[in-house]
Amino acid sequence: MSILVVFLFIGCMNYRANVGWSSPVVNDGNLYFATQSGDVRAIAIETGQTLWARSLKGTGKSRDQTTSFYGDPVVFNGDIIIAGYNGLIYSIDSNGDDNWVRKVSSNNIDSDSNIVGGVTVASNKLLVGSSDGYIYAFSIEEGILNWRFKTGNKIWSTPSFFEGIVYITSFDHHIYAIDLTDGNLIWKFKSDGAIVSRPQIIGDDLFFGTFGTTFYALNRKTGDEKWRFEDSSGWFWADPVIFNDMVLAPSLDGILYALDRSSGQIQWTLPVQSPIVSRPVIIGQKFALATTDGRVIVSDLKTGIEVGSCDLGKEIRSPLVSFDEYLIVTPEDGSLRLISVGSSGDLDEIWIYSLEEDFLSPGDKLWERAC
Amino acid sequence: MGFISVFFNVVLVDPMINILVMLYILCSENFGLAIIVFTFIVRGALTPLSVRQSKQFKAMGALQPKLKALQEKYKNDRSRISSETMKLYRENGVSPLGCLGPTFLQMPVFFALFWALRGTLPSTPENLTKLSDKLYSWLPGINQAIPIDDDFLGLSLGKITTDNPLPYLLPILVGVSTFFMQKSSSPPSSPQQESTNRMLLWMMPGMLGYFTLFFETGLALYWIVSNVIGIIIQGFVVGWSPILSIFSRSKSNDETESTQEDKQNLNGEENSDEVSGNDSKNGGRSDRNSVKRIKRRTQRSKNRRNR
Repeated sequence: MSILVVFLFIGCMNYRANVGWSSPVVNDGNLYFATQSGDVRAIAIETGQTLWARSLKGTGKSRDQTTSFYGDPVVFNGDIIIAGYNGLIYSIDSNGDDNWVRKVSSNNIDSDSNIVGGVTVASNKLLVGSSDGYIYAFSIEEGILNWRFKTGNKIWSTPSFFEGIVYITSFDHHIYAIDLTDGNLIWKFKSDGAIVSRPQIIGDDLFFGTFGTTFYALNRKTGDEKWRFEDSSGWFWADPVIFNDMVLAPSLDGILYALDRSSGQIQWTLPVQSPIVSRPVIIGQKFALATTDGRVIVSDLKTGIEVGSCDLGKEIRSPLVSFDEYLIVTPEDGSLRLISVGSSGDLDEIWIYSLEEDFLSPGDKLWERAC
Repeated sequence: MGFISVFFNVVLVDPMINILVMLYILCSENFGLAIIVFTFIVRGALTPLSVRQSKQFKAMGALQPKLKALQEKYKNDRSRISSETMKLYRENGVSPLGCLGPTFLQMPVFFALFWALRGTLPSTPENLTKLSDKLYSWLPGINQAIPIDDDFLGLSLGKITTDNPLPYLLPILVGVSTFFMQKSSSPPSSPQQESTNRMLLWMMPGMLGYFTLFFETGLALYWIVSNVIGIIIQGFVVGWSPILSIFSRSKSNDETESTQEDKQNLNGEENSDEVSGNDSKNGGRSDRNSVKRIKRRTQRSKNRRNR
């Protein structure tokens, strides 16, 4: 018995560690992104060549350890700012050199301050939520703490900002509206479950989904509920996307719900048979989404009918990124893929950036074209 | 392989995850209590198997003196030892495989429990995304209960034990409870196996305690509670003598006396009914009953042969 148990323990020691699902940011013809091996790289979109790579390590006792990245980087005045799972925020200049590094922590316990959401630039402040339950506001130039606001549980979402108000969701079932200048609470709304999706704002409306399988529309100024959608059987994890009068709400039940913005009525649904963790993107009159089983699907926005797809064969949880008619996909094999979306929805892989090989062009022997 | 994995998850792991979350809700969102209640439920469900196993061990224990004497008697004939041993087991209704059967039946449950605990307390964001798929959304309030608050007596049950305050307390408790569990449930062994068993008795708790350093605190809690329940069950079924013998200085003397007595019993066929083992010397009423049962079986078997 005991021997079998020991084998069990040994077998289970290879338990999956943090991988991260950070997506790239596009700026001035370059891509900036964090890799699974814990560094930030800049590559030229046109050629796929590496411009620079900067390894990001911890501080103090963990100064030799790399970290995972879940939130997307942002570019501000040419500087790249990104938050690591280790609770550190890194500001790097356009050449890959350090500006500053700040620790997000309400106390000295490292493990309580993991950052899963991304950073948001609001006026001259940098906003970030942490697993210690706080949302922090730093000055963007020097990384000095301006204020912090405590919620009742972990924050894994990226803050949203609109007209002087910061909106942040928390595992404590609440969404909070906070004054950007001083960090004081304006209103809060209690939902039916934990929230990790980033609130999306348009006009006076604010949208988010919960683990309670409900999708909400609120008045962003007062926090009053406008409508709710309760037909999903899975959690809402990915950020919703707004297009004209439609809200796209991806669910972990493997269905993308297109809801009417003013009433919450279903316009159409797109069942994809795999949980959707990745945020979809709009490309012209179409949209693209990625499933956790590794498919990239392009559909028509008006009808939801699938017009193109490609199976990368690797899990995808990173939000999709688009510019012009291109998609950037980051599957969990650590690669980065540039895919063009044709007018009819057909997908064509332009290049693969592989961490091991740096860059693979269509002429390379290792090139395995998925679409 | 894929089918086995799906079957394992759908039939064992997923139901366990849902039971754990529902217990968490019923225990006022205290996951430590939920794990303890869950351990009681699992142990309760496995009690018939555990009791059967304990009785087999006990019966084997009662036959040990006879086995030792057999080995002494036929020490130059290995095949005879083997055939006589099997004959003795058969006559007394003891099946060595019957002792291991319940253990093997319990293994899938323990495997599933391991993964259920890890699935309920995901250590990474990636793993949390998988939990939604495993929950039965028709259970009231189950989605609303996530994420699980893993705080219990100042410990974070979802964290690795060394990330908690008093990082070595739980590994030590796992080691100590495993030692007592092993001591109370070790099957009887021949003198050749004795040294191996003695080594395992000390090595296994050490190894398990060491492994606990790398696993979630919730698993350590489950293991400790499970061991304590197991020790209590063993105590009531087999008797407390194996545990008490740890503290008894006169144990070795008792063993010597009883072995000599058993040798005499085996050599004199007419006196073979007077089997007396260590347990009957030390133990309580249940030990004596067991020996009586074996005596009756032996007598019945003899009668059949005579007819």
